[in-house]
Amino acid sequence: MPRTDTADLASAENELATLAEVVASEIALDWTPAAGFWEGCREHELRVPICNECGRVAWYPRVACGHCLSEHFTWEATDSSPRLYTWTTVMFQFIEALKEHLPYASGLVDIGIDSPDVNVRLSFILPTSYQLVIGMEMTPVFIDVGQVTVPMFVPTGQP
Amino acid sequence: MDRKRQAGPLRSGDDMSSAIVGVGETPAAKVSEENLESLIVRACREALDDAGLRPSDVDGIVIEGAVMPKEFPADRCEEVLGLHNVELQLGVSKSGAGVVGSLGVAAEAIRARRAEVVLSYFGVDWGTQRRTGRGAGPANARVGEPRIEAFERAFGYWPQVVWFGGLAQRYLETFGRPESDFASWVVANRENAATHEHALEREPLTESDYMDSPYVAAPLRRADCSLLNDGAGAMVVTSLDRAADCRRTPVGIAGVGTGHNETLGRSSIVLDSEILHTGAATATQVAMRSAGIGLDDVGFAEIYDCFTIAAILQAEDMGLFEPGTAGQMAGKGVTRFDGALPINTHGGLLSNSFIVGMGHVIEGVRQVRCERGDGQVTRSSVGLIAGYGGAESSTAVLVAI
Repeated sequence: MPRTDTADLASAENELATLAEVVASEIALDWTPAAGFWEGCREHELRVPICNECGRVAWYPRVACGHCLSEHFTWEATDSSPRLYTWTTVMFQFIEALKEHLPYASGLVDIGIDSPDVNVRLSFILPTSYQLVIGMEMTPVFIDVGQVTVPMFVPTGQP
Repeated sequence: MDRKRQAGPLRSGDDMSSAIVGVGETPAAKVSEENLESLIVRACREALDDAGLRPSDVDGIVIEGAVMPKEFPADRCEEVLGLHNVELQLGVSKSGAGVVGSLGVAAEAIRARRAEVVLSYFGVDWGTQRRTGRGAGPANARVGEPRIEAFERAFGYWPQVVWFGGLAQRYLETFGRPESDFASWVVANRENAATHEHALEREPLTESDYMDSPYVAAPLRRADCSLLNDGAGAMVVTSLDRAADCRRTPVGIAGVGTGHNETLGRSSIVLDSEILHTGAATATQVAMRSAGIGLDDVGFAEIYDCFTIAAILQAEDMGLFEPGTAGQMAGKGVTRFDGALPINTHGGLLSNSFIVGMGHVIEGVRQVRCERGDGQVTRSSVGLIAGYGGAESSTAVLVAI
């Protein structure tokens, strides 16, 4: 549903920013293999680890490459167009920090990396005001919350 | 994605070696007055009695390998049941895949003469745990795993019911199907449960009742979620030779197969190239090939149904229905105990009880032995039992002999 109402626009942006704050407070940033991802987010890039030995994409980030067991990766920015892979509307409190934000939409975007053996997908959270259809293009939005930059995804063309 | 889903190593071979000779099950309770140890002991004793065997006859224990070793490990079972002669003790895979896969491992152990009488059990007190605030069993699964904490839970994509909500939404959009497909499955499931004396949910459920059930992770509703209860089940497997001397008619284990998703571990339903595919396709092909049967031979199936969508995806992967049609078939009565292809004739995890696949095996045995009374299926001589464990699936072919 295209939005034209400016009040709605502002409200959606506010909701998104509020959710980003909750996400920022919940993300476990201390998992070393993923450090390069969060560094990329701070520079507003989605980066994935490429194995220095065999050149394959590793996802999720790993201690060792799933093919050659190398422990050395180079983080590279992706040049992709994320698409909605699936989603659900969560109506029930499972996560304490999100209890004030029910219901919310959560799901997966496929980053669309052309790799023969790895699908790079990321979870997202959105207010339920967005119209979601699987396969639709999603635009990454990087929201800075203190020291953390949270990668969010919104349907392209919706605020 | 060129990596093929691999057939696992578990299979009982082309010539049948073993049979289930005893089963036991406590009536499930939302909250039991008995503790877990007591429930498991009772189920094991009932299974041994059913077989006409004594604790001293048991020389092997093969159990599900992820939940059970933590909740009630095999050495504790040996101790409390007085199983002094156990020489083989194994844990297999995970969750429903582990319970059903145990049949294949037990059969192989018996064939290899590493054991002759194998006991398998599964029990939980998740109903009590939830009531007493000790967490809610599977609902808190995987908290603290770094991939999940970094990439999923913080973004609201957690816990299990949310992942399965994502599967359900993708299923409906992929096949252009309405939510009433899920209603049809659940309504038929409840009709099956009504035939079972121990089912926790036996009241009829109409499509309208289903639609009134609140969403948990839309499109999944509360009525699409497994029960959470206390209860235990057990089974005894032995060689065909020994089975001939047992009290009850043996139920043959004609074939067991396993199949894996591409992405091992929980992330398979996030990162697989197509998350709607389960390991049940390969598991079932291997099991049926091993048993020398085809789909036309299958009279009924018991399929792990932690959520409606899980059962539907497996049923379609197993080849029982065309992709996208399981709900429609259920709506025509096909999956009812008196339908053309009865599925989850005891009400499964959705309506009977959640003892993680053990209830499905026990129901399969009772169907093959033709002792299910009002819920007895007509074609009972060959049944498929499908266990799901996320990234791994196991299927067993049970046959009348």
